[in-house]
Amino acid sequence: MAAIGSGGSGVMLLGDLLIETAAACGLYGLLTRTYGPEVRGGGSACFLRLGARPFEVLPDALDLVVAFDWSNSEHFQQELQFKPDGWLLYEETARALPRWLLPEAIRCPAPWTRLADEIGSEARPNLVVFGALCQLLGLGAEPARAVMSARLGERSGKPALQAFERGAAWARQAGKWERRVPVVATDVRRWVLTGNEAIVLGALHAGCGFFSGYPITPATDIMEALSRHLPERGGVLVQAEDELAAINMAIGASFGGKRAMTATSGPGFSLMAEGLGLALMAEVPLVVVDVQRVGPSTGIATKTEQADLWAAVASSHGDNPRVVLAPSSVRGCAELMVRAFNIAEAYRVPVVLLSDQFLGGRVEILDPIQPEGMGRREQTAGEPMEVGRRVRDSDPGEADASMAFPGTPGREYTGESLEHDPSGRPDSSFHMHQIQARRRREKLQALAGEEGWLECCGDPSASVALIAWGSTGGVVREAVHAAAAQGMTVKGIILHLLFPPQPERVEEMLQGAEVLYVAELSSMAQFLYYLRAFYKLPVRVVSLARSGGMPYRVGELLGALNASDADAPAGRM
Amino acid sequence: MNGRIVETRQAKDYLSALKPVWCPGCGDFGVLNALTLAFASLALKSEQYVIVSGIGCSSRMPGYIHGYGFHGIHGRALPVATGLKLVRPDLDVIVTIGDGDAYGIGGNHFLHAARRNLDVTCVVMDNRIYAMTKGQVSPTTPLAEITSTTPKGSVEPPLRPLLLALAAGATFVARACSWEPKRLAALLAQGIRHRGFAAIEVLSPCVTFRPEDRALRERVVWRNRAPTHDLFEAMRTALEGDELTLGLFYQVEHPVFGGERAVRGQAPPSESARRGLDAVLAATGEARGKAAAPD
Repeated sequence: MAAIGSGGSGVMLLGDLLIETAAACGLYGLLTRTYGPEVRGGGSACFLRLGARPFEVLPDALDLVVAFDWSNSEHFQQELQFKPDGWLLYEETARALPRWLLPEAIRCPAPWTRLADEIGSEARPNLVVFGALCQLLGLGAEPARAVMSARLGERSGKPALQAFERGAAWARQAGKWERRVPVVATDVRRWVLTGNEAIVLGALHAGCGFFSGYPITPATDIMEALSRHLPERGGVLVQAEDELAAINMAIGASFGGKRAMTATSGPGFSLMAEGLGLALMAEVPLVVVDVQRVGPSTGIATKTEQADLWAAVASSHGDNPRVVLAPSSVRGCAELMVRAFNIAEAYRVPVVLLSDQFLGGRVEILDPIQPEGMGRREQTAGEPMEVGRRVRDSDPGEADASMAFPGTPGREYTGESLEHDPSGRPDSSFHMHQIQARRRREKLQALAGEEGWLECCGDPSASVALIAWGSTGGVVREAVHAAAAQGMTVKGIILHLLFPPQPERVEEMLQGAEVLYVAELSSMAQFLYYLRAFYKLPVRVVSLARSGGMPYRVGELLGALNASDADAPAGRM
Repeated sequence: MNGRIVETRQAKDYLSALKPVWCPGCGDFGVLNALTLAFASLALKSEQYVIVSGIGCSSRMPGYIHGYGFHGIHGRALPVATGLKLVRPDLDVIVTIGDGDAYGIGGNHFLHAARRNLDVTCVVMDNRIYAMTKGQVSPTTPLAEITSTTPKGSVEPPLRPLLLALAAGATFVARACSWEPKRLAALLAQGIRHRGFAAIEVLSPCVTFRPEDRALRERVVWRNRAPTHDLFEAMRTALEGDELTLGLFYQVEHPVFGGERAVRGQAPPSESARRGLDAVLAATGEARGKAAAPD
């Protein structure tokens, strides 16, 4: 279902209340939120999918649309596709239905504003709608009231409850619109988290001790959440004056001995590029989260894209082998954050974690991650090392994990941005640069050889493979299952480690695939060319690349898989 | 520094084995000399301080001092120092940067480090030129000076670093020169002891690209009065004598960044704030630190 309305109409609160209630009723769900370009007063919409299994993608078409008003609703026109028997509930006092609305949608005007007004000025129409939807969807009134109370606090008093009851009563009378979602009894208290919140959870679990950042949509809520949770766990958070400062503050804190991170989106990530090079050269552990949005430049700050891939793999300057991780689920955001900190510390390297707006901003109901599933915090920092040597002499390829923190007597050294010898002493000789550049590159080989970074879904022996990364990976998982239900055998492949590349593992996974479909939200097909650069691909490769702004839907991917060869895009660029 | 066991360490004991790359006669030798004198006078242990620098002649400093150091990138020494000092308030953090680092590419960070009253000592070795890149105009190059990028003379008036530091909120503001290392060392020691952002502007002439600045020796005047608490008076003093008056002009005690500071209390979560993460953190018992949330 979708709910739309102008900013301030309470659409977002409605979405949150519904998904929290659904979780309490044992359902799984996915909630996405869309804003127009305005900060306040523009259009806003939320999309909610509920059911008995976890979801990673919105449905191709909607059962139900709830409209508080039609202000700026044209922004969401393309996303409001009704099912043939889809129905529209709308506030009866709202202005005339927009012309773009499909004629076949079943329409029902509703008196929500009048019902709220009858209670008094403290009652709001969105709570009337909440009551109505809980009734229509078959969500329990008890959990709904508990969720309201938890969320609204003092404002969940009598008028709010009355609004809820009035809405439910209206829905009972308008019962023909009822579409009950099968409620599943469960004792499990599921989690209701966004990808960005999962990143915060992972960071706290990993023992993050320092965060510096600069506000940027859609990554800001990571800093906001950490501002509440990090200091009370003994950590430090700074809102920096810009992203240049943010990454360098994190580098300073890491040099000082704390696990440090920053989080940003594309434009801010560009500003951090030079700092990444510093962390690489001085071998300072660091975690940088990039929640991608539509670019370039200011682009569309509130919408998703996967076009920072090349930037994540190659930005900065010189030869700079870093680690790039890409979660493909909300759960993965938490898990990979823990791994990101461990890798950063073990290899003394900056780790870029690439999320995106679809992953970071959506709310998911998910099964709790058990502590062991989150991964262990592996503390390697602070180990003793040879006096006067900044790094342990090591065989090429061996990760160098020794670090001395300032304050340790007898281990003094200078973190150095100049090319330097293993003791940290500046050295501009050709010979030393050869040795050190190779060591920085080869120290990641152990990681490149690790198992477990590639995910395979569907039929491993299928001759058709569909490959993706990031939030598109979640769509691929759903598409592969949907394809199987239609009798198609497809192998889905999702990459979670983008750098260093893993040629052996990826090519092993591609075995048997005669045609490879590459799905990504990048008009320039960055993922396709990334794959071509690092991996031997099947002869037939079909790019499904398109720009972001809206995630793939399952139907779009299945349509592409079903398309005849003639329809398939031959190449890119 | 009180309470530390005073070891008999001499200034030379703080030097590393590296030989400076500076030109013979460079003002930066005087600053290095003064830093080691200051450390010796404070009997600092070599593991208890970190020298953080940016890029340029000045920023080679960490390599020449025995101790922990961080040689970062152009303009970003203060952010590195910010992160470091916030997580390691036990360390003395000394930032050694140049006029390009402090007032050009890193000017924004200078403003905000001063505004926050970050507890570091910021030594700006001002040679009024971009020297490592061989002689381009800098933010403090005097008007009408000919440089490699201003062949007809600079048309940009120079910045007034001390006014900038005062306006931005530095709580210790001084001007000194590199050719009197003992007086500079005394100021540096005061700056290191000061709790808060100590902005120390050091005239450090570049003998190669601004040899005429050697004449500054004849024009500077030390002012030996106690520092004022009055911002306006400090600004006037900073401008006196053609901006070549030396000394500590301003010193006040304000809360430092990251230290104890009155807080308004805990804002209640707003209605627009989601509760999911709080619930998960409560359920998983994701450990809260011993430190209680502020009341």
